[in-house]
Order: sequence, then structure tokens, then C-alpha cells
Amino acid sequence: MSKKTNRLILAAPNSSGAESYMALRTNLAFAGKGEPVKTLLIAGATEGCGKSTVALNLGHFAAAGGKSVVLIDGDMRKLALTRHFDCAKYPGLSMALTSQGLSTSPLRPTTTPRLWILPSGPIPPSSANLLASPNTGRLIQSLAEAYDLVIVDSPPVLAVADASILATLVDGIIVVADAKHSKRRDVRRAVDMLLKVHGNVLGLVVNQATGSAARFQYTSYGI
Amino acid sequence: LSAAQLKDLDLLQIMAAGTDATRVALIANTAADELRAFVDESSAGTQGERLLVVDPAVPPDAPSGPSALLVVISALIAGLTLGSVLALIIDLVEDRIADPEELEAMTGLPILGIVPAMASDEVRR
Repeated sequence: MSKKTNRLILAAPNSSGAESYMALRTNLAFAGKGEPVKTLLIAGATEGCGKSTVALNLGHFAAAGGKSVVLIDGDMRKLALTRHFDCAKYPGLSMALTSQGLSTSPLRPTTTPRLWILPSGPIPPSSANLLASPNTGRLIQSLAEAYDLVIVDSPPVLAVADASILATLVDGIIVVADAKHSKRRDVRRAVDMLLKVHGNVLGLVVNQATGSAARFQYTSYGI
Repeated sequence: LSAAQLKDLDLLQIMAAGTDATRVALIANTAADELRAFVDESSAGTQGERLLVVDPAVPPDAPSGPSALLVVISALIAGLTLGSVLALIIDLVEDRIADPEELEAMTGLPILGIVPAMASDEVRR
């Protein structure tokens, strides 16, 4: 049904992918060091490292685990989540941030029970300027009060300021790195940039496990 | 096979190199004999110059060139060095994530999850 080239893939139930995301969900529950992580930014150094795929799957499996989850498409340039859920024509984040009264009405239900999407909305002239408004933090907080988990997808940290702005407004950040294509120095620079704005970087998610990465996954199951 | 005049003396040094010591000595001596015979012949009947062999070639005890062991060791060192340099260059240029544990050490952050690349048969819309 889709003509889109960069389609996001949701892991099938009982697949190894599903196992991985459920393990990630569990690890995240303990990553906040006692503080529950209610608002989570999914960041990555560069384009195409799998941020949106991780955001989508984490949102899906968190909702499947019984939580009410809101996915925010904070990447107002690529709109990967917005396109995945076919809601590019709906008002979304950009309109919620520019409108006078804040409202959670732009939330759209998805086929996954308890999972909601806040599309990116009409593309603003400067997404960084828009996100820098105090409304962004207020919107994320109001959603965190009404839902169990708010997951924010973001554009590449090294490309634009958006992710660094969002990093200051969430409880925790995970940095996605592609085992095949991400460069080590890019990952390090991205982490450094997020730490520089005092973002609470909880940890890394390695995408596309092959070879040594796959072995690491088995050992990390441990005991 | 080569020949050279020794400094300013009226001495000609004939040198031969090869893999077989006895054969090499024979070649050098034969060349000297042939040269002497040629000079004798061309200056026959005159009071011309004559050649004398003052120091015949003897098969050397050890090879004059580098030993096989030295060649092997040099090649080994050169090979290892070249390989290491190449690996370093590739590592610098590529800079990919070889090992998630390395990423953990580099950033000081834990790996919260490793998610596989999902094949199309796992697609669900």
C-alpha cells in the first residue's frame, strides 16, 4: 500500500526484533536511576541511523506492555513517523506550538491500542525557532501528565539544533547508532553535544546488529 | 660477471656472482684465463704487455649477499609493518562501530539495547 521509499518497519510479534524491543523497554525502566522516565528523546548523530524505527517500535511495545504512549514526530524535516501513520495532512506539533491555547487534540490514535501519534504538522519555516519556544516544554509536560510515556523522535543531532533543544525538555535521551553505518566519532560528537546542553543521556541503542553486535546481545541477556 | 681496475694499480679484479660457490669461482677463473690467453695472442711476437693471474678465485665459504634468514625476517617485518599501517588507515577512514562494548567504553554510556535489522518478512503494517 505504500509508495514511500524509507518505510519504517514494525517488528512482528514473537520475532527477534520484538524480543529486542521488549528487552530495551525493560532496560529503560531501570535506566532512570530511580526516577521514572516519562519523557524520552530518541536521538541520533546522523540521518538514517534508525531513530524513527526505534521510536516507533519502542512506542508500540511500550503500549503493548500496557502503557499509554504518545509518539511525537519532532523531526519536522523528514516526518518519518507522520508519514508512517499517514497523517501528514493533520495538524500536529508545529500547530500546537504556534496556537494560542495549548491543546492535546492534535493527537491521532494508531492501530496499536494505547499508542497515539502527534504528527509534525505543517512544516514551519524554522523548526529550531519553533521548538525553542517555551510552549514546547509545556506541551511535552502536559502530555507526560496525561500519558505514561512520551517518546519524541528528532532530527540528527549533528545536522540541526532541534535535537539539542528537545534534549533539554525531556527526562531522558537515548542515542541510536547504526552498527554498520554510523561513525564512532559522529556518535561521540552527538553524545558530547547532548551532554553539553545538560541532556540526561541514558544510554545507547545499537541498530542493525550483526556479527559481534549479535553476540553481545546474547551475553547481555546474562543470568 | 664484472671487472674493474683496482685503484691506480695495474691490477684487474674480476668478480662473479651466483648461487653456486664452486661454479662462480670457476667462472671467474675461466674469465681470467680467457682474458690472459686473448692478450697473449694479440701481442704475440711483440714485446707487448702480458697478463698474470696473481690471486685466483676460490669458492667462498659463505654467501656474499644477504642470507635467506635475513631476507625472510626483513620480509616478515616489512609485511607486518605495511599491514599494520594499512589497518590503521582503514580504521581511521572507516571509523565504523566494530563492537558495541567499544562504543560503551568510548562514550561511558551503557548499551540499553541492540535491535536487529528487520527483514521484509517481519514487516507488519
